[in-house]
Amino acid sequence: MKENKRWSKIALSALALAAVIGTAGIIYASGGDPHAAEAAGGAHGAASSMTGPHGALSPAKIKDFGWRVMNFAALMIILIKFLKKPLVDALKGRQQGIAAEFEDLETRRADAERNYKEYEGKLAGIDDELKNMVEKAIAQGKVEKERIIAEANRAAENIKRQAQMAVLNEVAEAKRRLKIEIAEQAAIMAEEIIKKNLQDADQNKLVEDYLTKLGGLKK
Amino acid sequence: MKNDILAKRYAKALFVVGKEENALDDYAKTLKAFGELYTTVPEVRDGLTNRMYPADVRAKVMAEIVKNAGVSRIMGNFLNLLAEKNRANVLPEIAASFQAMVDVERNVCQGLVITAKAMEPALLDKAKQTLEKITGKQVVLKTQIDTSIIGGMVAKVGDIILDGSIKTQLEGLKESIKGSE
Repeated sequence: MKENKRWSKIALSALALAAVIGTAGIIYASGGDPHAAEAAGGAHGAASSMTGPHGALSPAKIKDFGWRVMNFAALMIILIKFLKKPLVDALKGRQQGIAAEFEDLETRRADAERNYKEYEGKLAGIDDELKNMVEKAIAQGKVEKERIIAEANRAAENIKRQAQMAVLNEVAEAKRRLKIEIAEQAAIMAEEIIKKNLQDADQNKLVEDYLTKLGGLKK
Repeated sequence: MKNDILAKRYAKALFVVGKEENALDDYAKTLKAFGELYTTVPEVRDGLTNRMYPADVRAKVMAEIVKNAGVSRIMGNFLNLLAEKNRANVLPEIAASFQAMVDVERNVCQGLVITAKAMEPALLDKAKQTLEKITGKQVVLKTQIDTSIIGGMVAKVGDIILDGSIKTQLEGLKESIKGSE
């Protein structure tokens, strides 16, 4: 792991140096003499612009090129200095995010597998469970049946008792009405018989007896 | 109620005078006759009490009746006074109150015996004696036939009612049958 890190640093440094030199060359070729830029667009432009008429670089150009390289190197150093940490942090954050995502996915996969096994187990035992449920339902049905029957018996008893009470009341009421009717009829019949058979002598006797009874009263 | 109070006042005044004059029977008889006349003859009642006629006309009606009836002077004045004071309508009550006062004065009370058939005189006499024994007063007895009582008798004397009728006995029998268990 550490070896890898070291190699990656070396590769990065070499890449940066190559980029500096290459980019500086292009910049140099595009800057300075206007004719040199045109020449740089061609295949042999770079070589012809860096060489003089005799094919050799002039000291001034070499110096300018050196300054430009240094300038670019300084820019790169500054950029690396200030951008390294945010870039590294961002990359690390991204790496950590991906790792966390991986962990989350692993966890979910584990859960899914657990659920799968659980359901598999359930499916294996579903027959027993169904059997149990059916037995429970049958037992509950029996209990409910007994309860309904008991309730119906109670209701029937109540209805029977109420009917008996109603019958007794009706009988009592009928007896009372009958008694009244008998009394009325007896009085009517007695009145008719008395009217029919009451003689003067009976009337006199009645009055006399009543007066005798009154005579026994004191004021 | 108002008429009763009024009637008692007039009756008492007349009673005092009648007692002084020793004419209580005569006054009682006259008052009774006038009370019956007022009650039974609508024209007389109308002529004496209808406010459609002037007061002097109503007084004249009474004066004419008094004149034709030939009552005593005091009684005539009393009756004319009733007409003048618009109190002719209390004549029946005055007659009843006066009779009650006379009865009290003489220790007499009015009795009524109701029977389904006419009573024999001996039995009526016994009834009178019995009622006098019960009330302790002399009883002036009247009779009335009422076949609805079926048999026996009902006697009313003062506030007392003695019911020995078969109708009442049958009612009692009926109630006892109804009430028996």
